Amino acid sequence: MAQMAETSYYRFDDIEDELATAQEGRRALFKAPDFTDKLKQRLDELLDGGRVLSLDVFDTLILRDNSSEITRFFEVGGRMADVVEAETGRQVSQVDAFIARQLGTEATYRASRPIQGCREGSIVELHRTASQLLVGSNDLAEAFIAAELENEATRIGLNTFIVDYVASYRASGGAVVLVTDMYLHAEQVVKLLEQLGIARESYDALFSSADTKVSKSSGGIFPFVERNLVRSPGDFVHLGDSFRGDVAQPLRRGWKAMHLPLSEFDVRERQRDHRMTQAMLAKNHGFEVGISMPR
Amino acid sequence: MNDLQNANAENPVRYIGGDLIGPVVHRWLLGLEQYLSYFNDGDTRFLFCARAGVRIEELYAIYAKGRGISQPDQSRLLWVSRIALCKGLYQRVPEQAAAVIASEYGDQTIRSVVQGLLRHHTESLGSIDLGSHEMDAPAAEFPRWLNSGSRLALTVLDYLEKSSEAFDTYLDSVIGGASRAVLIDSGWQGTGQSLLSRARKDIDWHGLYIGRILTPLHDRSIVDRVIGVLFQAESYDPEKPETAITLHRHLFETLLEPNGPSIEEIVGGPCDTIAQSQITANKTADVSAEYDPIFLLVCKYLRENGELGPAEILSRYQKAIPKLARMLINPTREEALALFSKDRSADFGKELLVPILITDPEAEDLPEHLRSRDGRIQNSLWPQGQIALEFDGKLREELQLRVSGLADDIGYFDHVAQKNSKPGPRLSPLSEAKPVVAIVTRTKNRPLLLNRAAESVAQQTYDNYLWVIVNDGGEESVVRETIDNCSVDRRRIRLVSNSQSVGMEAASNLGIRHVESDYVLIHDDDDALHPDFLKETVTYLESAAGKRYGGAVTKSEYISEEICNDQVIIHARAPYMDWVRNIQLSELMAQNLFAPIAFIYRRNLYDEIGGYNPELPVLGDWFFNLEFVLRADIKVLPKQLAYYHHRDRGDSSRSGVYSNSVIGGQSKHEEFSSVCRNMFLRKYAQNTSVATGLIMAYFTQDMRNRIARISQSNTPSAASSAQAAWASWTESDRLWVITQVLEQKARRSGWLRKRLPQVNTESSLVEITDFAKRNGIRIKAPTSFDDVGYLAQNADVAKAVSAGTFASGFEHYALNGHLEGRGRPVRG
Repeated sequence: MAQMAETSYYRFDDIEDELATAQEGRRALFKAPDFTDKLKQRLDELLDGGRVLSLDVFDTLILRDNSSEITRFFEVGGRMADVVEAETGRQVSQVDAFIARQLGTEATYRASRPIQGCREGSIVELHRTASQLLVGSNDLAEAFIAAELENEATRIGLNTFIVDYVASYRASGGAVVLVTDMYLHAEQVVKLLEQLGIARESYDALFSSADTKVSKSSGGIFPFVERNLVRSPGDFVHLGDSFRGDVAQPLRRGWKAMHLPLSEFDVRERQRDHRMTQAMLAKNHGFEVGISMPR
Repeated sequence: MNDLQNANAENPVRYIGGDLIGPVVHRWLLGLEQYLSYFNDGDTRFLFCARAGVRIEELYAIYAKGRGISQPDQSRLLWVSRIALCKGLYQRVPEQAAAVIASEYGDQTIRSVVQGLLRHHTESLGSIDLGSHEMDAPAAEFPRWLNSGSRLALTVLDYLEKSSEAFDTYLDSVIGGASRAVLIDSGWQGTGQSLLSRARKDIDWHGLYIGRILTPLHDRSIVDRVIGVLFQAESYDPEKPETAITLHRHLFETLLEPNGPSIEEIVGGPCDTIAQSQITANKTADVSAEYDPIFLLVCKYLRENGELGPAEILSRYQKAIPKLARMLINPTREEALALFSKDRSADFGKELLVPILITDPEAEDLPEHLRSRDGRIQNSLWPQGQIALEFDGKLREELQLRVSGLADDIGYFDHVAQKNSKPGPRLSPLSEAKPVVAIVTRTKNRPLLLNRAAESVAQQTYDNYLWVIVNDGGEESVVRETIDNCSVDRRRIRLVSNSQSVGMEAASNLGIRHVESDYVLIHDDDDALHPDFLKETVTYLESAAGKRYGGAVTKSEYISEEICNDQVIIHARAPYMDWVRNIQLSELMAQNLFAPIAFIYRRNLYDEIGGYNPELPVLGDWFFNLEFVLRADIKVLPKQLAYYHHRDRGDSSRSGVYSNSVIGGQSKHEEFSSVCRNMFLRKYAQNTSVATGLIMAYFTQDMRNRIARISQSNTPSAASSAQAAWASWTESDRLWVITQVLEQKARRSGWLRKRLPQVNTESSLVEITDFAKRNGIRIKAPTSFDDVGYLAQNADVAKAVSAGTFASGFEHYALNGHLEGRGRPVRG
């Protein structure tokens, strides 16, 4: 008599699901030993003692608070208006500076020279355009960039679990690279990290799509990193919060990858913040800005 | 009461110019400043392209004064029209320049092209015999005719070469050694920019336009440097009111058109005096209160509001643009007349005005084709405005929505779809709370194919799915390895693993029942999907029109392949069951009509049916489909979005782990088609009509099979080589004409496109050519067909073409010549 078939059911997302459903957001979870033990074990398995640890920067190595982009950019507008007044004595409103910044963003993302079919914004181009719009020259671009980095620093903090893991992995002889899809150039990301206490010596290399133009999202940055480190795809393990850029694309390239998704709680908080600022802009200034809702 | 009545019934022009178009133009000029700031690096020339550039420069000067900024030192006016560009760049890019010229004279002859090109160069024009037969060839032949070596062509070439030499000098002086040039013009897809980019590769060309509207013929190589400042869209999207400008771009063309002539000649060229006089005429052109009231009101608005900051400019624009959009889509008679100020002048050496609106249908000089309402609406550059002049009330609004692509007359007959749809937002966009699709993949020891299926799932642009893999008695570690390395989000993967195989249908049931979902798709491990399959099907089924259906199938492609040394080798691709346009129960009873991979359906119907029939080792999908259609309809979506793979070649086709159930289990399919029918009959025998239908369907299918066998036995083994060549050319010409018809249909606006009857791609060469002729679709000769040679060999045809009986030699050949045995001259 034939045996009855037994059916088993499996999932493969214990860590990803725990992150995504964290009731109080990811920050708390990254400090919880039960969770970090599991995460450490998975990382150890993936790295297998010798692979290069590749890390996304924002929302992975460093964690943002739950402010939305639109709120942060409006805050930057305020700082830019202060710069204009301090440097030229002219009065520019926060909202006009914010719009100038937004027009600069659009210009750099739509008009910059594509490489391998990819375009990426550049904070330098962005603030040169904003400076032209606000004072008719590039003169304030550097000061605007400094103001933006200062503001950014108030909205981020270290992911101490990842920072400690990086230190320990490097101490054991492992290599660590940072790879970010960002309009900040590597030079500016390095500065931001230093402000948070991550010295340039504590990782081996940092790559930003603002410099390479090819990105994680397009997949083009991964061979670029391989060439720079003279390693092959199977030598890397990448970690990050964006499924497409930090997981799907490196996997397609032959890297190992692990997803550290944002929690639904965090996304909801950011969306709430986004809606509040959009509503404020609509009420006080009568317009909406095309900045995407956080996801 | 509409905005206009509310705001300023006494002076609608003032309201439109000052309160609507003024803020929109202000926002556009802010956008120009934005990109001029971005590009301004000291090594860039900003070129305002005449004629529109004359007024754009003027508006920008007013704007800049208000903002307290200066115009960039590096800005210049570039005095060329598109025809002048073609003349000026001919020597550098002869093929492209001649093609642009030819396309502008689409329905005319080479005679018209020559007259247009040389109309200011009377000496050359006078030396040409315009009555010559070679002038009768269609304009599409112009590029080839230029190189024919005929004396007449050499005269035109000489003129073009001299124009080109002069233009090189002129352009160098305007560019002034800069490495980048930014063209500033009204719109829309950078035709001039394309010519310049190809001709002058030493310069990095960019373009700034009010909007970017790409047609299928746009130049893909420059598209990322064609910037639409206000919008980039090919049609109106109700969620983006600025895209309503695509419905009436001529509003801005006329606003920016000075009352001077087109700059058709080149500075320093064979007609330098004419060029200079054309430039002077534009520089000194009157801005008339009669013809340019909106332009004057816009200038006034800019002067009065010059000091507004960027935020206020944006705010006023966002308030104005939805109102302008409404007016472009649904204008009243008063609004249409207020928006219409003057007709457009034709470019390309043509002396005529193109009507935006026909305001006097009784005018004595009105051509015949504009004497009917239909003709006037079809030929208007702004059909919505013309409708406003022809109709009133709800009929007007309904017709305007139809020509804007926001409604159709089918909706009138479809109350279910009509109930939830209204003009405005797009039908059921995918919302935040998207329905969940269960994608169920049955597999057993086929890692190569499972990896491909994983990539098919991972590539889906609709991401709210759960991928349930059912390992039906295969090695579990193999499946786990695929999961580890695939790029599907791990949160979306579920594995159901059977220690022993339970059979295909039972495996499907285990997978489906393991998860909660709104939709179900069976994605076998050997099949694949287009990345937009889920997005397109779920969007349709969630739309008002889709609510009536229980599921949807897309067109699919049959892929013939074999597995060799762990590699998939694809041998052939062909449409699968391409004739299926809808799913009728009676037809489905005769045979299965679609591949499982092409079918997505609502989960509640699965629950109602009770699942797939586990007693059937094969054809369970057919049995399920029959039960499904007893309960709900299935929509056939026309896009080909599913790939039905078959290992029907080589060793992998017959046996082993990589065989298909259809191919490997061929004998089972034959055996179980009767089992399946009998089982279905027993289950539903109490329903007499279903039973009768099933029996009739069997006989229908049996009859089809017999006819097919007879047809096969009568097919001649081989045709003669001459016949084969003739048939091959005829087929190639037939496909060429069909392609042209479909392409031109696609290029027509929504209203005109809908008026064209359905194109039958099975039509013969004669039928499809006749279809094109009857529907006013101009067919160009294929590149392999020597039109001039055909006319030379067939004097009677040349005469008939001359008399207008046929549009070209090729049209005659396609309709009559090939059947009359006339030779098909092949271009060398």
